[in-house]
Amino acid sequence: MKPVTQKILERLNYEKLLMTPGLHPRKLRITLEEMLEAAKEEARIYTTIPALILFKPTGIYRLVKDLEKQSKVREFVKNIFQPKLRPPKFFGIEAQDCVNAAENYQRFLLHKKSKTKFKTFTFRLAEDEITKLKKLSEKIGKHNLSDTLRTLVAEKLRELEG
Amino acid sequence: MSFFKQELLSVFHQLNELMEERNQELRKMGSLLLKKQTLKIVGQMALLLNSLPFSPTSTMDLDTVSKLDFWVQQVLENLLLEQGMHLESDPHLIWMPRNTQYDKILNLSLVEVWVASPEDVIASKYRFKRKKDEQLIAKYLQAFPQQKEKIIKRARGK
Repeated sequence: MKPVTQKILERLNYEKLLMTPGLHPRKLRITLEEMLEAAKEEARIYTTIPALILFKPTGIYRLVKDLEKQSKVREFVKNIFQPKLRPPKFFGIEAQDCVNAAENYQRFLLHKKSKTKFKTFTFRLAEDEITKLKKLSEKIGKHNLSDTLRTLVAEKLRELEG
Repeated sequence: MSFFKQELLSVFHQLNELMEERNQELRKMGSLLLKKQTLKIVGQMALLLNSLPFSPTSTMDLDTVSKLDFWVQQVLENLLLEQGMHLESDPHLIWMPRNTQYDKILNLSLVEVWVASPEDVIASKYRFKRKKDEQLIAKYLQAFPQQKEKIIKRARGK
């Protein structure tokens, strides 16, 4: 498997759009071009592209810019829910498969959103521990310390539970 | 056992527990109890649940060819949704070879789960030769070249 395909599949595992046993779900930075490249090796990736563009566009780095160059993708996504306007296939894949993936992904995101409620906790940390936490947040590309802590907890639990 | 397989099996265990609880309520009400449900899994998910020498990529759909009780179906759909999965239970839309072989992978008090053999799943995919399945079929035949003729016959409905 090409490294780019592995990277995309790991991210799609993370997004719960595709599953590939043996690959770890990882929130990696991906681009549309990488997705299209990886889809040449694993065609099921094509079915997930419209879903991600429609319902989690922030999940694809530099999307707006790259989408300008990909008119085929842009047009398909624009008309995906209009059977008369959309092309019957998307890179050779049945359009209906893309529609199903998009609808299921949207349902999953709505369900997840309705369940996630955050509570506020106060932690007592030493200055240097806060500095280390901030440094770690920057290194792993998290926007805030809560996000970093959530990632660390999830990773540790996954490690302990095998 | 892969993480996905564990996740999926835990869904069936939860379904069984919820059915048991539901039956306790129904018993108190004097209503008819839920009967044991048989789930026959086909499609990509069946490949994930089988042990193959390569890792097949799958969409999040759980394709079944079983007719489930309405309440059970609703509960299963919700349990799967928690895991980002989706239940596809339209037996009339799924073509599988005649006499498809199923292996029982789980037998609980109220739920039993069977998965179609990889050979039959590949035969059903071979019949339609959709682009999304091309790599999968090629990988499978590369791993099991001796099964090619049999798969072609099964795909033709023989």
